[in-house]
Amino acid sequence: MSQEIADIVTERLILRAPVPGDTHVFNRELAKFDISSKLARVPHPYPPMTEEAWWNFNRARKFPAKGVWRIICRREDKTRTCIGNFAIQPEDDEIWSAGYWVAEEAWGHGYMSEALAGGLGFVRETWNPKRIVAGAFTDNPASRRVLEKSGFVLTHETEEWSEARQTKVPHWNFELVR
Amino acid sequence: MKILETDRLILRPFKMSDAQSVATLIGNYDVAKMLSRVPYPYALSDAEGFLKMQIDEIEPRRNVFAIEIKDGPEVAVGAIGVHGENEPEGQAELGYWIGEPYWGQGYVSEAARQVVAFAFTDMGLHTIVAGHFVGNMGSRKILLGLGFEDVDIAKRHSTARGQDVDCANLVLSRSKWENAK
Repeated sequence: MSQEIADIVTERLILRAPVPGDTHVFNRELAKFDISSKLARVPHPYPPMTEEAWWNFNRARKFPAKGVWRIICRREDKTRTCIGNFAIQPEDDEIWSAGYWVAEEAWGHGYMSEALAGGLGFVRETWNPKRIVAGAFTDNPASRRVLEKSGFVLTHETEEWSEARQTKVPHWNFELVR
Repeated sequence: MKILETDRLILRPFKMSDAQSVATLIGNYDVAKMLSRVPYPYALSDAEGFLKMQIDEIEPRRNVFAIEIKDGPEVAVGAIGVHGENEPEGQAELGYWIGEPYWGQGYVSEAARQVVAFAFTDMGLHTIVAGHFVGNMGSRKILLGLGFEDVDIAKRHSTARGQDVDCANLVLSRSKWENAK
């Protein structure tokens, strides 16, 4: 797994391959409504995933033929503990999608913008997809700023199902065109 | 170094690519506090130093295996080994740890059965000693299940806790192991 996946290094961050034990942070953060309510498919309450379930769930993402899934850590943190993650992966031949979350304790430092820029740089250099789509619920302006800082442009608004809220929620749809 | 195999596990030499997994799993205080020589917090460089020693410093009286789960993540999720370098001839200490997500599934017992057999047969040991900090019932269960018997309780330093802690010392002789087979 990790031997083929080189770190992406940005000014303050290291974007590394996921490893066993990162589940600990996933289970802690995804259990928070403040996190799950901002994501489309994460339920609340969140049933903690066993390492085995997490591995099976993410198996395809760990060995993608194309795309990246990286754990975000601070360069100054010598233990390289997970503070979030993102994935940028193909939906089909032309359209890719980006998704992410950052642990609550790490909010407000611009880490996600920096990480996404690093990930997008890598994806562009390696595969240069034509379109990358991403989105955020309209009550999450912080995520909108992350996307705008990375050059994403708002295309339209929809209503999308939120698993945590169990209702449809207004949603901004963004895209980044090559 | 030999590669050992059990139903669910591969016990193999460490690789440098195991470093982040080792750092993340052992960097959990609930794991680190049960071990004697593990600092806390545990940096990636600590893991790299540990792995480098296992890989570069060949010592015939020490055999430390990475625990990898078949059909699981293709990295080490624990370690198990026997250290004889500071023990009398024919004797070695069994040590092990596995990441918290893998506790309670019998993985270490499964690995330890294989390593104990390796130590008594391939390494030709006549005595294996092992210790667990008092209160670590998971580790105690593993050792008793292998046939280890209590010797005494003595203080042992825990680097992670930064203090001396009561440690239960146990022993398994080759004759007892052979009779129990």
